Amino acid sequence: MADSNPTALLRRTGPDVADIVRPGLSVRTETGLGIAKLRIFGRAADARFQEIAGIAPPLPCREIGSGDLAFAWLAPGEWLITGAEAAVAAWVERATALGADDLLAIDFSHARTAFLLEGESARAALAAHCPLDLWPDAFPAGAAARSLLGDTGLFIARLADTGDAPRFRIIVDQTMAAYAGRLFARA
Amino acid sequence: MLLITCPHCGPRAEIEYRCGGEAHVERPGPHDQVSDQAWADYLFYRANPKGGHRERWLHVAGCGQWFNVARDTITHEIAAVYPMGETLAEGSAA
Repeated sequence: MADSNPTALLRRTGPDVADIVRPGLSVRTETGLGIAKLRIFGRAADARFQEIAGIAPPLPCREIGSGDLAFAWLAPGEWLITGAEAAVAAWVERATALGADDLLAIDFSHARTAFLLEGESARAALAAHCPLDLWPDAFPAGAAARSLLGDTGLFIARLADTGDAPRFRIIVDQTMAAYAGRLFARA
Repeated sequence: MLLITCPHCGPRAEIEYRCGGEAHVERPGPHDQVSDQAWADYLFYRANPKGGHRERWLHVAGCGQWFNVARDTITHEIAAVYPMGETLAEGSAA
């Protein structure tokens, strides 16, 4: 966290969710992850994204990396930006400074909780509560989606594998983090 | 459970969606010339066919977009998925 950044200085007040580490599955809370959303209104949203971000937008249901940040497609004209808290806050500040009225960039790092799931059983643990097809054909590394986790919504992105085991980043509402933790504790 | 193909996200489970009921219901107007009968029909009465039907669906847990679905209410077969604001030619599907 950059000490000079007031956004990053906001204290996280979310519940502490105990990490789960057992053979075949580890679920860890990811601290210090900045999470922001970019919405662009209008029909030429993808072209406008390129103007603002300086890179081609990710394809639907995909996440791409650019420098310290990752950009994931959420919906037409809507993207999720993740990365180090200070880097995300700086990006949002820059986008907002454009003063354009067809875009909205919001840093909501403190309203969400991120988990890293990895291990051979990660798919099974997710499949118990999430209706997505997470097998490699439908959800390869670099895929991202919004879906459900039990009674709450989640964002899920498949990161680069560790060895043979898949690795997922999931993001849920901060108020639902303890609930998500309980789901995985029982999965 | 239905497997519905969202035009933006691809095939997803039914629980990610919300059904918005019959598609292509148009608000009658101009408002000061609409009979009570026509207004009540617009507000409250919907087709409930046995067979081919056009419905609106919202991908609420995914991309959050509305779209139209041509679905058979007997077999649950989805014959077409098409964007809002468009219509399917009669008899082209379902």
